[in-house]
Amino acid sequence: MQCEACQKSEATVHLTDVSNNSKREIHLCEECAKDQGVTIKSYMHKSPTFPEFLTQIVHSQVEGSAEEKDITCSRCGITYRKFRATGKFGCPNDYATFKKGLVNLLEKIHGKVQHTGKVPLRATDQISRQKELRTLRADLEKAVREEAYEKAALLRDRIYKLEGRPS
Amino acid sequence: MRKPRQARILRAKGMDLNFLQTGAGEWLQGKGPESDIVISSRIRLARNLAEFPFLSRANPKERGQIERQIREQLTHASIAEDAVYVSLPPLSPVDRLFLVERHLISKDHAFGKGPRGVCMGARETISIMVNEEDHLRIQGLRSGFQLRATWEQVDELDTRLENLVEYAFSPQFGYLTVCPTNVGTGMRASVMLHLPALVMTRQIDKVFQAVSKINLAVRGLYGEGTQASGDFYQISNQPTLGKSELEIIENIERVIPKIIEYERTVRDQLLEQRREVIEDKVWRAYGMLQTARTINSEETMDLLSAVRMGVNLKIIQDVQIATVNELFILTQPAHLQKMERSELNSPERDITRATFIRNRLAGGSSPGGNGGGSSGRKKTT
Repeated sequence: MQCEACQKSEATVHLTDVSNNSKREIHLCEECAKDQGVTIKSYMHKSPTFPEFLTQIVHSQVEGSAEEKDITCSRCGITYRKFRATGKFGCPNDYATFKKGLVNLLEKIHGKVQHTGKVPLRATDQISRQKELRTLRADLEKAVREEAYEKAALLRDRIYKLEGRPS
Repeated sequence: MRKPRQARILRAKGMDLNFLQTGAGEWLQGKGPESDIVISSRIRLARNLAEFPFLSRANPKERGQIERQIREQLTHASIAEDAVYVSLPPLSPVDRLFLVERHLISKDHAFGKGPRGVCMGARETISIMVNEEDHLRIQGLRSGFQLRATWEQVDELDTRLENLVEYAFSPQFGYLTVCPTNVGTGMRASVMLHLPALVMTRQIDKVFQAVSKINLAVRGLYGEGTQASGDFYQISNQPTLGKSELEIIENIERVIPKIIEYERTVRDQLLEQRREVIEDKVWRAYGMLQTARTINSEETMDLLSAVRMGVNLKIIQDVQIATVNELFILTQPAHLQKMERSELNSPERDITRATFIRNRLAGGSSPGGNGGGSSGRKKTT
């Protein structure tokens, strides 16, 4: 949601104004809220209540170390910290990059962490291909261990073919 | 196999949205199961292209590329009979609001930025928002309580699109979305209910409490963050990950009949115990709408809600439910301005609105059924 005043930044301050028996909701960014005399700092700096304190502890457990918060997506460049501040991912790759912290977050939002719904046809192929590759690689390792090189060469060719590499 | 039909592209400045203006979308016809209480059923899917960053991170060039790619694919896929793609930036604010009022796009989409558009069928049962929060928001909307049929249509369309573009998908997390609250199925299924008796008897809070316990959310007429108006409430699923689309639909399907029954029971009780009070409320509302010379949007919603209940309870017999349903949409600001073909300030709108309602109610029959050539025009008196 955009700030109503500057129409630029993300609104992070949400106020309900009740005057003359009518209710109005106001959404502002921190800057504009300050300009309009809303003292956010005073709210932020007061000592936390016990439930708030408890939530902070739980959060710190769930979210992991500061180091994890600085993990950066190589594709879109956002950090986990930035994602948590805005609530928005930057690209599909973030889901893999932030997987560790994300699983706990998704558990909190949805109660589950594994998709069980519709799967695109392309992905069905991809998922079965990945499964087959895993099996083939295990077979290859076994063949090499057993020094069955002829079999290993055949397995290698099949892996290359599945990976789309020239054999 | 349906014959592929290319969507027309409307992008020119000052383009004409008037093809939509005769009456309202099919979902307001007041047909469909349980349509005395269930206004409409809606399914929306959030989808993103795998090869691009999300819009939260896309630069203007990428936004343009995303919009172009999807637009081209949409115009090749047969979305619906007489599908039309409308690019939003060239539209006037009134035209954009007009699409919001018809539930074809969200308010955020209307007043967002950058290249974006909406593809929709002429019957308005399908609309696809391009570059809203996610690259694609596929929406199906139908009259009455029919989530499953709506899902089937949206599912089929989604499958067709998935062959034309590559969606961002992960085997673990499902369809990947900008917000973690939409990931997985990317699906929001919602049912819009008209619950005047529960509101009147102050029992609506009990419904909210019960519904929130089973992970469903309650929202106002225009979705997220909107106030309930005209006693309309949308019930929708909250979690999107970890359940299949049909499981999510079944969860809603289990609870809606109970709310419908609750509303009907309270209506019966009211009729039995306070018949005069109910009849008085309904007739006064009808009388006001038939005679008012200036009326604002909020009062209109309240009065129409009472009239709608009166028609369903057969207290009022000479008004069709479709007429009342349409009035909820056609009396909104952008619709009035489109009808008048000029910008109106608030007091002018209130006068136009009152005149329009008087004429519509005097007409008696349902305007939706006749193709409604003149349905939008007010008679000058």
